[in-house]
Amino acid sequence: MNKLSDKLAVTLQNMERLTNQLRETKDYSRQSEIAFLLKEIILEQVSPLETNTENENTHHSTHQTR
Amino acid sequence: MKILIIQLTRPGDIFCTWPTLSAIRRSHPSAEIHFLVRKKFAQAARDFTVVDHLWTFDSEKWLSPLIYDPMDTGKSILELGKFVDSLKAENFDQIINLSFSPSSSFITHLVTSQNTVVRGYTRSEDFYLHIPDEASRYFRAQVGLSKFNRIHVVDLFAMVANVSLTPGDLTLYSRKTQGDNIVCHLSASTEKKSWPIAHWIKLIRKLLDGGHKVQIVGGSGDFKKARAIENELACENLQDLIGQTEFTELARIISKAKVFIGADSGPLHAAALAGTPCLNLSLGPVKFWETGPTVKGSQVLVCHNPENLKPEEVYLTLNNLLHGDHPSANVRLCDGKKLVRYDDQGLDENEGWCVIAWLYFGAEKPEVRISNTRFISQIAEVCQIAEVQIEIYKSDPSQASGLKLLEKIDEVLKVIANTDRTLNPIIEYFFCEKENILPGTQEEVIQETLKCYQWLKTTTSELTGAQTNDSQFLGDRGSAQKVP
Repeated sequence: MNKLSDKLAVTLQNMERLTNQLRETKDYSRQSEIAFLLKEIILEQVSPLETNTENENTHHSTHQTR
Repeated sequence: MKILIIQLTRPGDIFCTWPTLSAIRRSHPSAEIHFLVRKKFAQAARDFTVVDHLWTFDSEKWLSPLIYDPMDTGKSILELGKFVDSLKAENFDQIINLSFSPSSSFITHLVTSQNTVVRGYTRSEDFYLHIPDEASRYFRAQVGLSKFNRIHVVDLFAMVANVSLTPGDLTLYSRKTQGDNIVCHLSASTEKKSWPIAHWIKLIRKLLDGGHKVQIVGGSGDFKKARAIENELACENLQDLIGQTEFTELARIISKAKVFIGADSGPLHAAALAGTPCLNLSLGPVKFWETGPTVKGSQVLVCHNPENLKPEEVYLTLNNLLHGDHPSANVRLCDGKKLVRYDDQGLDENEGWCVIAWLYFGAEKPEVRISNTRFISQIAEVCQIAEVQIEIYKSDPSQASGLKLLEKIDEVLKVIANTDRTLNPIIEYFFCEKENILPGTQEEVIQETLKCYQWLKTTTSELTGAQTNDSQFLGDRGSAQKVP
């Protein structure tokens, strides 16, 4: 189980690098947006809502600000 | 007309979405209603008869190429792209996102077509968060831990969808064949929200001794608890249904019950849709006024530390509920009203809610204390600094380095928001509006940012002045009084 979460953590780092790069290059294509979505799905898996003490719909995830 | 409603959280929130779906169907009898939920929780929506097409979001499918060797990010992106394309091909007239997560906001944006009207979190063309409707901005600014909202999530979802609920919308399961069982749901999504098994055993023993018939329900993760209860209390009046029921079957069992006892969980919200009176054990950090039972007459026992809620107190409260006696002072009673479904007297967070009521709903201006006025002065000072820096930049764009001060100013504002309950809702409103500035030239963004600081300074100073506020909630963004 740890191996799985370790693997996802590494993938998440890669995806963060990729999305930062896409933001820097202002690549606002559909493909790029799907990469952003995938990063968020990995993030949900790495820190699942189930472990959050708050009601998940009232839990405010961090959204990057302009 | 095609409408997509997105609900990517847990079963409790799916059940809380039913009233909104029902109201949408009443408002649009011939519309094609699509509903997107997580695959693992799709069972909870199986009885949602107003839904024409149930879509499921299967995270595991997109993640599996990342888990097995060789890792294939491209395949994940490809498969995910196919899914959003199939949704987008529906060409929805309206999308209502009732999740408040980054992933749901990206999905919303990706499946939005040119003429789609969007409510709820989405993304701007540069992928920053965008919240087009006032109700979702209210959610962003005022709902959650350390916030002071009092409106129930059932009503918040309806506000986001821009529909008005009737009492009939709150019912999904029939209660025509009411039995005499008491259903006890043993767990919740987290341990912090769950009542200790030793307490359950004591309570169920009292119920059985009192001649009640008890059904214990829960998921397969509750087998150990069920065994502990069976070992102590097995008898013909105790029925163990742990791990034997899917959501829809569980909902039918609860719909026939005399009363439902449980913590904040999916089954509690299923009980609400069946009209079954609930005794809600509101434990840990749960805010019962946001997620408590919506059935009139239901009662809530609140205790931050689950250990401290004694079985004797639960038993006494249950007896009062069953006999229609007046609840004791520590019990919260659902009065069946819309929006604020629980009486707020006695709560220690009333100051923040009074400000929200003033800021959004046109209530009377709340009184301020000396400590508030000190912070209000400090807010005015830092906003003044922000305004000056922005004006300097506007007259000479080479002076952009001064804008870095804005980050520090926002840090100060966050400290004040975390310290002062009265000012917290106003500062949260400010941050939400600032976050929601649309893409544009740097000058346009700066100009909008300036308006936010000016609004914050004016609004906080109004608290100490004699002006009255007549703002109305849910005005469109263009005519919003607070942020021009």
